[in-house]
Amino acid sequence: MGETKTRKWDKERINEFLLNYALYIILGIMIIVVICINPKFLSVSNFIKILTQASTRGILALGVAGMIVLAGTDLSAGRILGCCAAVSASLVQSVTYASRMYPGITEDLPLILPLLASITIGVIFCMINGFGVAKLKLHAFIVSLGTQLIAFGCTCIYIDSQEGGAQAISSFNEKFINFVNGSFPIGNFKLPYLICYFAIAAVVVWIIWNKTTLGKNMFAIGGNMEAAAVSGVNISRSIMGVYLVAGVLYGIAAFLEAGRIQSVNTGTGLNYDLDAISGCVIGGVSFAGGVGTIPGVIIGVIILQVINYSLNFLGVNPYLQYIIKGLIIILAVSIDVRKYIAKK
Amino acid sequence: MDDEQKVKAEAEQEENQELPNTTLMSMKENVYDHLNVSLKTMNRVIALLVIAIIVFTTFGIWQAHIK
Repeated sequence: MGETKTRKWDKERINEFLLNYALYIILGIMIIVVICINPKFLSVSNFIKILTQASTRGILALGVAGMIVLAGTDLSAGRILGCCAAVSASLVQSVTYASRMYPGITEDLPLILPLLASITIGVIFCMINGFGVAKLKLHAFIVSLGTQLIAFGCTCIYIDSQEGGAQAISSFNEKFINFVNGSFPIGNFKLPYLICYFAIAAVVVWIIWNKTTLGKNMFAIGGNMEAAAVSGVNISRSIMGVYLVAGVLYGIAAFLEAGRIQSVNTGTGLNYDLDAISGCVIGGVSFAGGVGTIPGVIIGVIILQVINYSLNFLGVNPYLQYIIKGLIIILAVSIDVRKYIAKK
Repeated sequence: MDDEQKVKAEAEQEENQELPNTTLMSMKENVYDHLNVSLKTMNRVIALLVIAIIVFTTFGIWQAHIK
């Protein structure tokens, strides 16, 4: 009788483990399969490539994560990134490039200027979102849906305003390319600057989330807005603060992404928000609000990038990749819902 | 004395009954509150999704390498 109970208990525990960690188990199996098919996947250079690709998406995800912790979302992140990238890219084009957007710029601008321009635009768009959510009490989904289209329209108008028509903004100066794509030599391999920038952003956001009043208020509002208000938290100011931080992060991500891809067009940033949101959900940031960690966001973004990279590495049909990624996102949310129901 | 104790006990009981109601009222309304799904159903959904991911990934690899 005792043995049967122990066996049932073990079976339950195993089932619980398998269900709660289904995503990580699938990822583990995927990686093993990739390595079996092509052992070259398991190399330091591949790992660095994955981290480099994850860096700009990761910085974007750090911004989006704050909004998800507030029990909201941001569908405009990708398009805002595109708009910011277009503006910053236009300011870092090579002065020897004949078709540059600003022929009046005859010397390379200090990189701080396009970075600040990118951050300013990111903050403006995010403040619009924040105002809608904090002051007008609109749902973040709807506000960001509108801002997404506004940002896309602004990007298209800006890129179309070039003398030569709507052409991709490219041919950047060497200083900018080296700043974004350079690397530190460490032993036998090189550590890209992008990974360092991502690490710095993660540390700063971790400090904001865990060591500042804004961070504590963010979790309080996401956990229980009424209780937070009763406890004396200024809800509007805190929400606006979170959106401000997100705007800064979007601006930085856009500046770096422009340098990484070295060509910005109207399609830049398309679906980046979905990747950012997916990364957050996979990393354990709950849509219920009030739950999330920076290491979780980082792990989620890297996991998503590993999935993207593995599927590309295996040569899986790109259209099929969309289906697989979509299923993975639904699985991540389902596990989150299951944890909530189990707690209830 | 017994009557007093009974009254006290009844008053405590009423207080305890009120507490869960207050707790319920102050429970947050979140994205998942409207869900009326059982744990068993969610377990089946997760299992189904896992199978779907494995099937599609296997099909994709087969298409890319073996076909």
